Amino acid sequence: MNLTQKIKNITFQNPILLASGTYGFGLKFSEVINQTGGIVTKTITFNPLIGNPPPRIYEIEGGVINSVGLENPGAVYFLKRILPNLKNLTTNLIVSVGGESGEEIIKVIKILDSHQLICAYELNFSCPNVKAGGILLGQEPRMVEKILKKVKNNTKKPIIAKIPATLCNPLEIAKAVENGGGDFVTITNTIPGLVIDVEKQKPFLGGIIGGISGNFLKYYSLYLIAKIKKIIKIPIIGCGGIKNYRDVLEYLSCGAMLVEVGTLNLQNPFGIVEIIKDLKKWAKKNKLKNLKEIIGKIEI
Amino acid sequence: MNKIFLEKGRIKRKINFSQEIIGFWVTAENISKHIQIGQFIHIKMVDNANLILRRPFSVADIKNRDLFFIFRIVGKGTLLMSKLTKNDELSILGPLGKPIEIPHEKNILILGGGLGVAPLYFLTKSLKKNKKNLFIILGAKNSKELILKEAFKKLKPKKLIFYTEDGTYGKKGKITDGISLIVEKEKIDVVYTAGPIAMLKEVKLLLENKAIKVYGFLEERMGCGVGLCYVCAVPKKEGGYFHLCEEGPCLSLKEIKL
Repeated sequence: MNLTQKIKNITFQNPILLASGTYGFGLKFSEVINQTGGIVTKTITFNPLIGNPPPRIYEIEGGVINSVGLENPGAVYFLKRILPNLKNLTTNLIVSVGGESGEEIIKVIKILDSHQLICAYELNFSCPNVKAGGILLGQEPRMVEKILKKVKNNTKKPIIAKIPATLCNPLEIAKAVENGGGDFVTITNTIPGLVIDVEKQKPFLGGIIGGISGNFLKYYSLYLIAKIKKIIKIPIIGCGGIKNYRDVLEYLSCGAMLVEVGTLNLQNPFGIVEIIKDLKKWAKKNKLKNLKEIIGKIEI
Repeated sequence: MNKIFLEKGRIKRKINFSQEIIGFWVTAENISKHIQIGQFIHIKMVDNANLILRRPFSVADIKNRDLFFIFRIVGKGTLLMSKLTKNDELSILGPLGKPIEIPHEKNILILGGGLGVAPLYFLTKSLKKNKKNLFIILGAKNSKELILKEAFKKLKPKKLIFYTEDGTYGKKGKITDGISLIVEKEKIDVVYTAGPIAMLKEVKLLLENKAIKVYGFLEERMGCGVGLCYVCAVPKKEGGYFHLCEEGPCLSLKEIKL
């Protein structure tokens, strides 16, 4: 039984990664991080962002709506003050990169690119593009393809594109990721949502718009992956509502080679370790030789 | 980073202070052993898949392997938790947050409103051990909601004043009525306060320009509780945000916007 996969020259000791935004920058709980296939950091932007006013979270049944607003210390601080403290990491460090434009993303990557510890970038295509009237960076296939081509010209490290699941045709966006030279596609990010405070007659979240995540999102994500798998060849990372090893198996069987666990980390910083242990147990019990035996076995 | 434990805590004793205010003594060996003043615990009911977030609570007291926390029924989570009884289990993450360092100053004023008295009791016990001069003002809506009265009396502070809004116990009025006088008269160096946000705002306003330290226990919607998600933001006076779960929950009121 072996859960290891080598994809695009990156070795993943198991298929389970920590999703961006939910596990900081890799500075804490290194003993947990090192048991995973990798950590995707909180999104790094060129300038520091202070984030949205509180409240930043609202709980819904089986999930949450968050509105942190990409709070982060900026690329230079991350390079100089955080990366040097991540030497304890023995697993893959994937840096989530965001910005208002392709240019900003490239500026961030140029700052970070010489650092050996970073094994890939995950582009956060759910950042709003202020200049283009606030539409998401990843909402428009031509823009996605253009950004990816430019980014690929500026780094040799693999590029993962985390695409939005709504307000666009995710199938077209995934295809654009492949056409632009993206190495992986993560399906999917949170979906936008609004919470209303009826008493105050105004939006509840300080940042007004939030991102909905949680178990329900899994079903939409699985559907998208099963569809998208048929039209692209690059590896898919499944994301959305994973709370146990069976959810991981669902993603793998629909065609994801890797998965990211997000919302669960907000409930239990050790929870991902249990999922990995349970997946190993299941693989052993079912005499699985490697993950290829289950990945993408379900066709719709 | 101090070690964080995830423990199954067993309810040892349930105290119904009122229909809405409940206290649990819970056996949680590791957390009880390591928790320091100012820290909090993050609780999830064991069997509830729908409510996925934990709820943060201050610790009111510890005794050997047990810890004591008090909560008010305010929503779905606390309503469900209020139905638990002896021997039921809770999933507890902790100790979390930044411990309070015992100040070197001598004259300390404690201001507690409503359930705010809970974390203040744990703190006050520690200040007492450190031989501080303690002046305490506690208040609530009515006598029933004025919890831990007897426990505070046993600490024998220099001064202990009670207020209730309806006058059913102690003086009639609000705790903020007596602050300015006592701060001047007793040459107070440090103030610790906890209670409803409106009360904290008033305390901040009253003491903002005085040359004393003023700390308050804050509350904010929380996610992970361990500094990973950045959900629990409290605005800094100078701009940007504190993360309550890491830098709090007890913060200098002079450094924040309320």
